[in-house]
Amino acid sequence: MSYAYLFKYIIIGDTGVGKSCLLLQFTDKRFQPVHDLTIGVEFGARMITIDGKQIKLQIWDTAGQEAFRSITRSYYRGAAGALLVYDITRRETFNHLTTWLEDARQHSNSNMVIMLIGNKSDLDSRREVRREEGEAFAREHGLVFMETSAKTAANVEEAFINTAKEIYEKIQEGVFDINNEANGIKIGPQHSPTSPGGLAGNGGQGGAQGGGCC
Amino acid sequence: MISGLQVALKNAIDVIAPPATPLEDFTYHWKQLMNFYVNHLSDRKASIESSGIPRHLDRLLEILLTEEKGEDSPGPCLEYLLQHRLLDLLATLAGAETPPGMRLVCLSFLRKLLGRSKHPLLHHVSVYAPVHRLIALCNGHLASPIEAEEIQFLLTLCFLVCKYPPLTRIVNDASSVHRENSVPKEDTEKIDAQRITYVPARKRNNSNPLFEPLNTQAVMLINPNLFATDSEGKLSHRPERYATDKNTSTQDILDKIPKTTRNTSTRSSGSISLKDVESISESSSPVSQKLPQDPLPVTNQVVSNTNDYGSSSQVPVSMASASYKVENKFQDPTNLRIDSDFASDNNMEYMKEHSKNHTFLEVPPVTENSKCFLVDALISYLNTADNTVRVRACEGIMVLASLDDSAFAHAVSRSDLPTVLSKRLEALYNSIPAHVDPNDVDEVDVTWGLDSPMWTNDNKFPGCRQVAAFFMWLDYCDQLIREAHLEVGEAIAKTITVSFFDKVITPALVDHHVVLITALLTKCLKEISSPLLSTEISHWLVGQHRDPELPNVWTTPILHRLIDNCCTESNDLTLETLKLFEEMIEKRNEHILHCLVLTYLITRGYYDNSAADSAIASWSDEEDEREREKKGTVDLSREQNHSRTLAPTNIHRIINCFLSLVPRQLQTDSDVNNYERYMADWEKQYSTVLTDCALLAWPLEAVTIDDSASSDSRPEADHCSARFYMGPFLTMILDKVSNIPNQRYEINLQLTVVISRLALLPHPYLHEFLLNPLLPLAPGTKSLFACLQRVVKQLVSDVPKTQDYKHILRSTRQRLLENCSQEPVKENILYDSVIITEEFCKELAAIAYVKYHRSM
Ligand SMILES: Nc1nc2c(ncn2[C@@H]2O[C@H](COP(=O)(O)OP(=O)(O)OP(=O)(O)O)[C@@H](O)[C@H]2O)c(=O)[nH]1
Ligand SMILES: [Mg+2]
Repeated sequence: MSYAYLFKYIIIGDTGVGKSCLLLQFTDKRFQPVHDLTIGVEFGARMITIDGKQIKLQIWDTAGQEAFRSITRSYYRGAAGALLVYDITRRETFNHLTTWLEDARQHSNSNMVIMLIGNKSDLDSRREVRREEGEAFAREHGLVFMETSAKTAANVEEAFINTAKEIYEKIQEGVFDINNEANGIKIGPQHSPTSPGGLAGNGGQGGAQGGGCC
Repeated sequence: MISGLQVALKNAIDVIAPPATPLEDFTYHWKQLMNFYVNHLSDRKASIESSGIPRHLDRLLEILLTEEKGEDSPGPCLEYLLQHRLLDLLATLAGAETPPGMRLVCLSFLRKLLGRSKHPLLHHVSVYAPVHRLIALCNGHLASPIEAEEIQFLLTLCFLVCKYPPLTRIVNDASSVHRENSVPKEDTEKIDAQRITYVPARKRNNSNPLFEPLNTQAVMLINPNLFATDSEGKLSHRPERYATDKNTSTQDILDKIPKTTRNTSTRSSGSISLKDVESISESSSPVSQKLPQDPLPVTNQVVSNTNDYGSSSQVPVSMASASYKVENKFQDPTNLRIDSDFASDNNMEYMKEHSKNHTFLEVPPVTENSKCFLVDALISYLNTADNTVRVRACEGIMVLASLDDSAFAHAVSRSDLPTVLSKRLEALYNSIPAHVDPNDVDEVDVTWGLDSPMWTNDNKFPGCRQVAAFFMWLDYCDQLIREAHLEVGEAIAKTITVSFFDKVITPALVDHHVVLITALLTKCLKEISSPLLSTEISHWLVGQHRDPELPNVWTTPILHRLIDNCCTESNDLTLETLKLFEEMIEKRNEHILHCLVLTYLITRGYYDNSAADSAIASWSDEEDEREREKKGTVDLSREQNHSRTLAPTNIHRIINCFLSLVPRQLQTDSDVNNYERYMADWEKQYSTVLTDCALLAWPLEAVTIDDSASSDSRPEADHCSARFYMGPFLTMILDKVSNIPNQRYEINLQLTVVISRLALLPHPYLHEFLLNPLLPLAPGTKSLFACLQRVVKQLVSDVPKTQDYKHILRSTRQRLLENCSQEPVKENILYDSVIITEEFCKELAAIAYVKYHRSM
């Protein structure tokens, strides 16, 4: 299927917080009650529409297990968006966010949009992390925040779509260089990339891009 | 053949059967599963779907997983599974692929069981032995329709190994199995099937020592001694003894074993009762009797090792020895007690220490190749056509390569891994079509995990897919080197450098596709980020020696090849090679910069000491320096942390030199101070450069090494006799600068980019050499500024020869810099050169100012 843009996402967070379930809910609209822990990295894809434009999301669901951290580090690079997930019923998953964030910031490109997700909102009775705490953490670190339930599907669509919107806005603002695929963004096949056309108008043989202004 | 009706009937019976205990339920399903084989002794081709096997296995798994919920110690079903070696039989059936599809089902069953169980399981001989055999079945070299399941199974094992590092050796030691394609003989299998089917479901026997280890799993994991035992049960002091004579003992034992007794391979079947065990013990006992004091596990291992794998058609040779170890162990109550003491101790730290020091005991020494059994299996999938499968294999290898276990890392570093990685890189490189436009190469931005050659839009440019596949692989190698254990990383980096860059790229640099190859090399350099590979590549590029070369004595073949490539007739090659040099500088790799330029400058041979003395009044900077030297307070500069060399007080004079170099009549930019518009950009870049170079331990100030004690007394002539040599690279660059009026615009542009990159580096000697036109130079020393002066001189004499030159220059400027021109102007190297010289001078001024500003 043709699309205007393709965004690459990764989902990160401690084991058992519901990363795979979020992906499954988003791509297949179903819930998986058994914890089949992810070994390695799983892949999913779906088409969404933003601003009347078809956008393809390619999503990599990483393993939360410590043992696979070396692989996860490889996947940060070249992702346009990340869903950083914790489990509102397990405080330690919230406490680990700082480490996750550091890891992500260190290994990803600086423009990567990170969405903080407090999952399992359906289990309100067992809640250990208040919503306000999530909000505060997100504010402090400049993330978008949302509570979701992979079980009831509450906010799941929104989480993925809002992340895409954020990326889309960044593209409109020119923050993302869409010609550089290292950013995790591709232009769809029918929108054949306009030839870089030179750094016309930015005056002179700008050293920045290593020359080649003409 | 079970008819559809029969299946339906059976299903119905399953459903209406009265509730049973989990164990009854478990054994029921197991027997049902086995019944298939009894009923189909002659017909093995019945489809797996009609066999009901998958369904029974699912139930078995379900029962096992339910059983461990809430229970910390293993339940009776798990014990049954271990005790009766059900997995052994499954592995045999998987090996025989009976019925067709059995392998897939077994792999999936085991993967789920191992992955989901909260018990480590893998350290049990009745688990790891069949697991070894299943690993041996997973071979990516043979096309297999169930590749995906195979790799998922292997990846699960990787995961377990990471989760429980002591399992590393158990899983990777292939001594208990060998990769073989021979399928077990049918008749033995029949017997297997019969035996297993009719094993009476025995009641759990608490006094049976077989059950003990299940309760002390944790101990078994961290205390591998549990596997190693001698009949005397003296556990406590043995490890130390092993540690010391580990190297010799194996050989000793080998020597002592008479050839005839070396292999008494006993066919071990799925179900082993105690009686079986005893007979197995007997079969290996000749060895142990011979060497009563020697470590049994080692001898056993040796026995199975020396067995000729290639010709043996019997499967689990060392199953016997392996089981013997364990059984023997279990029969010795003393050992168990000691081990449970360990457990009750709960002193994890101590136990970790303990196991760390003696982990080799887990798996006795085996032949070199088999130490990476799991790694080898994963490696076999690296060249598979299925990208998903390959990426998974890559993941598994990365996980194993990064294990913090130096003995294992050593084994991996000596495995096939480095060669296979490098060979694949070479193959992908060779598949890149020669017609790929070198300019397109840089556009390819891929990572190994997030991209797939299949998704690569080949419309982008022809050959894009192949280029992408190559760089994905390079990215994987680079990331693997970065994440891997140091020893593994080093081995891979070395192999790739030697086998790929040196063996393949080096000769290609004179090839007729050298332009494309240079572009690929530039991109490689750009993408490589792991320190180990960067170091290796830097050595390959500029050589390992750090001393300056003598003029005309070339010791670094690649560097000189590149420099030669800059000086050929081919503009494309010159351009591409200059881009490579730009990248080499941009890497800000200490070694590359040192060998390329710095080693020639740090003696400050370009500087004229005597001139400084006489002309001191005009160079406030030099004055400052002389003051510093007089006071002998060179360290003072260290404290202030700001370089005076980079921030000379006469900065305005310096900037003026650059800005007024091109005379008014040739200037096309009305606003001379326009150099400021370059500033913001350089400012930003300089911040990055400063951060990158902060750790390079470069000196702060350019000072003449004080050999004055003798130089005062020395005659002046002597002092200047050693002529300054700026090295082959700078010589080439300055030659090119002198040649600006005769070179194409693209070349000149790239040349100025390279020089700007160099000039931006916060190295005091390099700085003053390139950016201080007021520096007194030793006689006969070329400098950037002097070269530019000569260029301008030539331009001034040549350009005005044309009447309308001012107008032409203006439109040339428009064409080049504003990228638009009303009237098409014909390219003219001479006019182009005027523009580029003018702009280059402004850039140099901007850089000088930016550096000044930041060093204030
Ligand atoms: N009630 C409830 N349970 C959830 C929700 N999301 C996930 N779970 C459960 O949490 C467990 C773990 O979910 P997974 O999605 O497999 O966890 P994961 O983050 O992918 O874990 P790893 O793959 O090990 O990193 C499963 O048992 C899910 O059923 C949710 O929104 N509500
Ligand atoms: Mg998961």
